[in-house]
Amino acid sequence: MTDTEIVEMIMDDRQQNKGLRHLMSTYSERLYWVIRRIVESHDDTDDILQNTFIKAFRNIHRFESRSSLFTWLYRIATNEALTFRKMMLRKATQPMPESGMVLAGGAVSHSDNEEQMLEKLDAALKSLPERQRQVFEMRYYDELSYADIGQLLGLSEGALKASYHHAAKKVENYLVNMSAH
Amino acid sequence: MENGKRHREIEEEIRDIAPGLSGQPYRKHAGDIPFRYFEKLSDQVIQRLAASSSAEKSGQTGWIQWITQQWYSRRVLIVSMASVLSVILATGLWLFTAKPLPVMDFSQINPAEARSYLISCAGELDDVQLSMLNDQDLGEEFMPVTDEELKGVIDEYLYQIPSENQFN
Repeated sequence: MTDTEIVEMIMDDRQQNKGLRHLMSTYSERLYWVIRRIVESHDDTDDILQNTFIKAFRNIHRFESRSSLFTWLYRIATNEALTFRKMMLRKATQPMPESGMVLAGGAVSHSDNEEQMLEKLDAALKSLPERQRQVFEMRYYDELSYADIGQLLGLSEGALKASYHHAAKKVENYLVNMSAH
Repeated sequence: MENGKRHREIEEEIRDIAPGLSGQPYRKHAGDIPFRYFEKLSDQVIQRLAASSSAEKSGQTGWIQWITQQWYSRRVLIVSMASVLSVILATGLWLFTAKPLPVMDFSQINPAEARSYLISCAGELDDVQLSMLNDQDLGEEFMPVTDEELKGVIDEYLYQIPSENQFN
């Protein structure tokens, strides 16, 4: 089922539940991991994911087919997750990682070696310029197409590929250098 | 594009660019998810939507129900409200139906009536009040007088002052 068909079903009062089910079955898993990378725990991810779909359902008339449906949902989900994270940061005495990614701890179980590797990777990502880090995260972790990233960041596909290439090389070199020391 | 296909494509891409980042465990999705979570998710979302829409509907009529309950449960409120309303209604009716007060037109008074009124009032006045009324009747005081008459009055006045002072 295409994005347009899903949107039309949701906008049709008689079929909106069916359309919503299609929307969720198509995109919930990808969005789940996007959110979970930001907020870490399953329960928080679950809340934010549900809020994302509810918000999308209520604002479906605002969706313009200029971007893909996933890109639109991705934007809602990341906004929700980042808002949640900011709220938690204000409440928490212990600050959470600054990066958009949660790479260690919590429900995600890793070995000691993996934990160390994740810490290094986190440091490597922090060393990247902001735009390169965003592109790297969207491609490497969120597995977005260049077209979708281009829609979200307003960059051309060529520029994104170059940015991702540079970012990946920098991260790799950073990790190699860290291992050497 | 299917998730698996996309994952493989991006994995191959990173292998070409930075082999050290390929096949790393942190790239895989890690973390526990409850059994059949994604299957149940749509039901939960639809339930939440249904609950919120019914809450919105009840929220719209809730305030009406609240007022109705207050009206039925609080007789004092009803009586007081009715009293206030009846007072407002009575005041409004009086304002709209009452005739205007007659305006006194002094030019319409008959001189004979005025005279008889004054005479009747004069009977109630004592001597002091009457003398005051006479003093206030200054019409004669300002009548034209001759120099001789004026001189006589002044002399009389001047004559009286020393005699008064003599008593002091």
